[in-house]
Amino acid sequence: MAVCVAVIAKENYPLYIKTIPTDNELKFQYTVHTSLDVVEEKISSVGKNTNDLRELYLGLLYPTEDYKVYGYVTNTKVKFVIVVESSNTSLRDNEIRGMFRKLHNGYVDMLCNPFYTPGENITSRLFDNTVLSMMQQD
Amino acid sequence: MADEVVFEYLHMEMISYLYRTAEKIEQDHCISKLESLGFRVGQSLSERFTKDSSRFKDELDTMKFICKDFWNSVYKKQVDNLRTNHQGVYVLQDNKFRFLTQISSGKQYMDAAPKYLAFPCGMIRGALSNLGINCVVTAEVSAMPACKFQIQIQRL
Amino acid sequence: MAWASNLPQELLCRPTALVSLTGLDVTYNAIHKLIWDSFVNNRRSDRVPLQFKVTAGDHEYPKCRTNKRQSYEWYIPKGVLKKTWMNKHLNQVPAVVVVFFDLDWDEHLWKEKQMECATRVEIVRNSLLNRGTKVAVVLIQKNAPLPPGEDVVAAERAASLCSACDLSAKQLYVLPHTDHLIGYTIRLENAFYELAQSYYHGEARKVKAHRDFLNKTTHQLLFVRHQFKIAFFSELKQDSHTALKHYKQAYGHLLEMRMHDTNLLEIKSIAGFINYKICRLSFQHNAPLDSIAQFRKHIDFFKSKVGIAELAFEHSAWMAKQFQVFGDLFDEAIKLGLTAIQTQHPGFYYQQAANHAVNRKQLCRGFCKPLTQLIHPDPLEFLDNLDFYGQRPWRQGHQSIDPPDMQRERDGIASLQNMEIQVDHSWIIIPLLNSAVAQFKKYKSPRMKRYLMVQMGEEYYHAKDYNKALMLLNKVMWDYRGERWWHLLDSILDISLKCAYLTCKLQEYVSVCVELIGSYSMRSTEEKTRIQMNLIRVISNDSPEPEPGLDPICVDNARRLWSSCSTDPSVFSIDMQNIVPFVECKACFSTETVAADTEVQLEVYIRVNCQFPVRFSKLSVFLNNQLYNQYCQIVDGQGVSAGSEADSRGGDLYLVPGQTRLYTFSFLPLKDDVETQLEISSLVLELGSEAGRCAMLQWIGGGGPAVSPVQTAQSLLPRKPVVPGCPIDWNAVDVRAATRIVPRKAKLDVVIQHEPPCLLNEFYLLRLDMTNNEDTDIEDIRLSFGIQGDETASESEQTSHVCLETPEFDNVVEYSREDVALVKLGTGKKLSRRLFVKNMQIGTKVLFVKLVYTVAVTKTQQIITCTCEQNETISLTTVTPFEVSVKLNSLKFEQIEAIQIEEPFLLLPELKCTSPWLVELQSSQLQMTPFVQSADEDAPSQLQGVCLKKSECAAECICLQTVHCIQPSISLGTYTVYWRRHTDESKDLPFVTTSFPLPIVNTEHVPISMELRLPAYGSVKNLLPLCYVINNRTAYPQEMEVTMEANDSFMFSGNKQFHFRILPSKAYNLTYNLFPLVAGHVALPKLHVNMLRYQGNIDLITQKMIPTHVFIKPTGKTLDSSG
Repeated sequence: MAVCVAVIAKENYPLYIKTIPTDNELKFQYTVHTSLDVVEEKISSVGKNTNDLRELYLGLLYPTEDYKVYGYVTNTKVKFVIVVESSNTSLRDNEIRGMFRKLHNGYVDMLCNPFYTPGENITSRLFDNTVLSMMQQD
Repeated sequence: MADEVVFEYLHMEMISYLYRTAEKIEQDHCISKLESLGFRVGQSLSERFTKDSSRFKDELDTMKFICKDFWNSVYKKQVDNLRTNHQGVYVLQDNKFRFLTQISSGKQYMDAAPKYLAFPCGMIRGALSNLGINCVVTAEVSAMPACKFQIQIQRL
Repeated sequence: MAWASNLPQELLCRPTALVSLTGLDVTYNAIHKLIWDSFVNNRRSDRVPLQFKVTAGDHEYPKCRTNKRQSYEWYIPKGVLKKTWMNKHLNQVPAVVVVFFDLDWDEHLWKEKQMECATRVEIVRNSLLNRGTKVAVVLIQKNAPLPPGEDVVAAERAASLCSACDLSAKQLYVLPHTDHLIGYTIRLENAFYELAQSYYHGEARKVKAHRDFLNKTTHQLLFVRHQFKIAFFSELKQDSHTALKHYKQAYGHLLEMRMHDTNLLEIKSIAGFINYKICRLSFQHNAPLDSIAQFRKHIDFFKSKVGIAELAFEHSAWMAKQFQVFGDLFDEAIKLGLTAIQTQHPGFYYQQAANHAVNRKQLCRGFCKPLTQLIHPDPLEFLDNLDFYGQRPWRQGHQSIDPPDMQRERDGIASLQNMEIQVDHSWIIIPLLNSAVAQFKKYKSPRMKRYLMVQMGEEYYHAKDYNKALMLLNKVMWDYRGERWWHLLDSILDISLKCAYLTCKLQEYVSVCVELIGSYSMRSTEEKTRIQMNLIRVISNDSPEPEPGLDPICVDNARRLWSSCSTDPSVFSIDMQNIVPFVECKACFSTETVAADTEVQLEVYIRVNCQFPVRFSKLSVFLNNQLYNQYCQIVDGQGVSAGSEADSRGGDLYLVPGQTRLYTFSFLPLKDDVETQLEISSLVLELGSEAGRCAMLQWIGGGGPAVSPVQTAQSLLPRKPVVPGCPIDWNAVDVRAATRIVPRKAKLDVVIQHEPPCLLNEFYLLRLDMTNNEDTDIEDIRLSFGIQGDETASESEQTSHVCLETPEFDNVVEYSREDVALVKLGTGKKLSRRLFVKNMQIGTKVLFVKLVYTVAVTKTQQIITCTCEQNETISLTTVTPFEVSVKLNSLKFEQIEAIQIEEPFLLLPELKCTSPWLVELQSSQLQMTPFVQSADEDAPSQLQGVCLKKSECAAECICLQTVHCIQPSISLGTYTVYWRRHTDESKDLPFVTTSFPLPIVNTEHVPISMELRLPAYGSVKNLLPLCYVINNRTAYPQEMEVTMEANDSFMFSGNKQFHFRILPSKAYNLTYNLFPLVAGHVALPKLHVNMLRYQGNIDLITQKMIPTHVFIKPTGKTLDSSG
């Protein structure tokens, strides 16, 4: 399914990035990082558009030849980015939405971990499993 | 309804514990300690409570969330009145603030009110900070158990 | 490779119809030259799109096939599109040939000229055999034409010329070269344009007609070719909609073709052409979405069609070209007004083009090998000279699935690979990235822009332009630090380090190392150790070990560079707040203010996060006053590589990872720096020795990290103070880069005694007592005091006066006294001074008292002279001492609103004391205006010597009278009180005056006044004589009538009713004798007055002037009476 899942802090630094083909991690990091341009633009345009849905789900950020990058932002401005392969046509908008929903739930649960300080890198095994489950259903 | 008072008991004990263990000179720190605790709690709570709400349009939208959803979840009631000068000051009035309802309503315990309001102030500040609004929160009691929280937005 | 994917110029240009002009001699004939210029110059967009060419009359146009093909049955096409075809129709085969001919209608050799013209037309016709090219004749005439229908000769001769040349009337034109040449030219070219359109229309129809002869099995190529031609002719005809339709059909046919490795290149080439046309026309028709969709379809279809595996780089090159060309088209459309958005703009296409170009480079690296020997004959011999677009030069025209000659095929592939190897791919990639950068910058995508710049940097690195690479990477690195994308920063630093190594850039090398061994670096510990080792080597004037994975040739080169520069001393500084270094530094002054006689304490905290301990050579703190810098240095005498802590003396700079070290400096402030801010301008930690290589690691200000640590909830909690002895919590140290040097605290005990509040106008006494608590005598105490803020006030607002010792005021306000020298004050002695403040306005003022002196202090074996200053301020509230109210009474002690002119009245000023202190009144005085005078002789003030407590009142009564005047209201004057505060200490204070204005009163003019003279009291049954005195105040005699009204209390004798006259300014006496009948306060009988010439009720007025009652005593019982 997803080939890369990332959680980005309010201040735009990465809290968590997981990629499937680990040798390509750097490229995915760049993909996620550059997608923040679009995320920021979408966040800042909220309210300007009257028929705005005001969803947390931001939809497709931008397509590249090989990947599709989707974004999601919580009200606390934590960003989730999911990258899927362009060739994967089985994933429709609804499935992506579901993945983000799951990711958000996982993130909020992770915050309840007493050993986690908000703003630090995410190392929770539980959260890791949530993410892995989204990446392994192929 | 025991489950609802658990939070109140815990809060009361937290205050009394802090003041009991603090030395005389350090008692000024207790308020700021309580505030910091509230900040952390507010931060986490806002993360959780906003999970299912739609994206906030603007500052006022965020304030309404604090007055309704947040207040309801924490204090089982809504804020009674929200006012703003549209220049970065918001006043939230709660006519029957939960942490003050058990204190007799005269002027007698007015001095004790700040202890019981530090944690809630911190909670508001933490929640708003996590929602991207930096502010200073102060509370004011003129007649128990009514309480006004003033939120002053810090713009950069 | 460029040959296969490049789009030919004929395709890129906008096709315009070709018109050939013959019969013009532009070299020798000025008129012809003029005509030619009017056709070709200033071809702006408002003129019809035509291309003109001047050709000779007997010009040979490309031959047309003479034998028209009747059947395609046996025809096997060799390719899709001939390379020459587009050029032929753009530049060689004209749509219209115009024959210019000098001929006037009145030419006398008309027959001959007509013949000559017909011959010329014939020649042109012959060279255009079988072509549908239109022919037109233009007669160049000297005379302006007559209006149509009037010139019978012209009409006749025109008809004859048309028949001689076999022209229709519409193909014959007249061009008079008069003043309006350009107007005629434009009319002519519009006519040519119409002819051209009809020509291309015809050509397109001809091609269309072939369709019936084609079959789908053998003529797939022709379907594409024909549709392309129709579309192209439509474009020439300027019918872009039809053109688009046919290009789309051509594209559709193309996709239906059988594709195999041998023909794929040709198909992709043509697909690229047609796609280009479709996209371009769609943009032109303002349908950008159609254009984008077509391009996506195009790419999606072909992206997996790689073709011959050995030539996969060709496919990448083709893909790169497709994206680049589309990016250009998109950009062009934007320049013409299209709006793009952040997620859809040319930048993405340039980026993809660059990606494919990178891919091409990698494929080239992976597969291509140089030729070992020359192949003969060269398979690429005809590379620039192909018949059809996109075909292999060694098997042109071959359309079967398998290559005809396998060996030849292998040779061809090898030759192409050989050619590819010579391409410098970086110079293809970099401009593409550069275009993309510009676009992403424009569409608000700073991160994408930076990513592309990183890629550019990498490409420069691959192109071995290390300096450019370093420069580019340096530009973007900061943003990755700022946003804490450490992984990305790390990968950039990796290339930077390699570049710095290869170019032997010492400063960059050290800077990158300093960053890579820090805690934010994602390197493994082994890597960090290796880098730190290299850093130490470099600093010790050694060459570093090369980075792994570098080209051995470059490494050799770099080794030489390093060894040649190893002996040169080099000192350079690195700004530590621009990077995330392995060493952190924070400095703070221990206090926010420092007194002039105490030492400034400066703490510098340093910690390192590298792999193994490191020894710095020097720590210096630079302050804004350089004189202190000498006290703020630590030098570690041992070299970088010296061993552990054990063999070093106290002030060493051997830092162990993870342990925070604290260095403390202290020094006495200079006298001149008192009252100034002492600031740390920078911190410098030196690595290496100044004689050899030395990196000055520099922090501006008080240090601290450039990238602030993540703000977590914990970091917001209140901090514990630093406890000495415990390990230092780095995060608890706050940078304090400035301290203020304040004057030494005066050891002078100052007490100011006074009794507030201050009363308005009084000399308010403040007693200033000073005790010298210094160890020595003080000689030069200077006292300043005054009212704060009054120095800036305007003169009229200065309402407070101060004086020392003696209270005096001569109407010149002195708001402060500066630097009054006081007497020498022995140690332990006391001195007292009296200050006075006279406030002339109520309200609050602040009085300052400043005492300044100098004293010599011994501190750490140094004698320093300190100026000490003691400041006191007192807030003074001034209140009024009393309130004054003034009453006006008649002589009957009845309050009156108006006073009667020349009549006496009573003025009753009343003082109410509002001062909390006892107030002593010396006297009071009335300053009267000229309208008023005393009715009495002068008497001393009735308030003399009176003392008032708070809320007590004092009043006096003064009888006044107005002089004769006619004003409706008059001012009475002012009332002045002389007073002072009554205390034990006030005996020698002067009295001060306070004046109050008296009211302005209304006046009444009465014609007469009346006075009643009667005894103070009467007794029952004893005679009581009364006398009414009536004064005439007017200048006229007055007729009066009086009536005495009897009452029960009295009997009386006198005139009961009486009429008389009073002369001007004279009085009249009326005498009555009364005999009281009852005792007590008894009403007198009323005397009613009537004045005949006065309109008002004089009786009412007179009644007010006289008493109404008299006291009557009862008759006393006499003891000696007979009874």
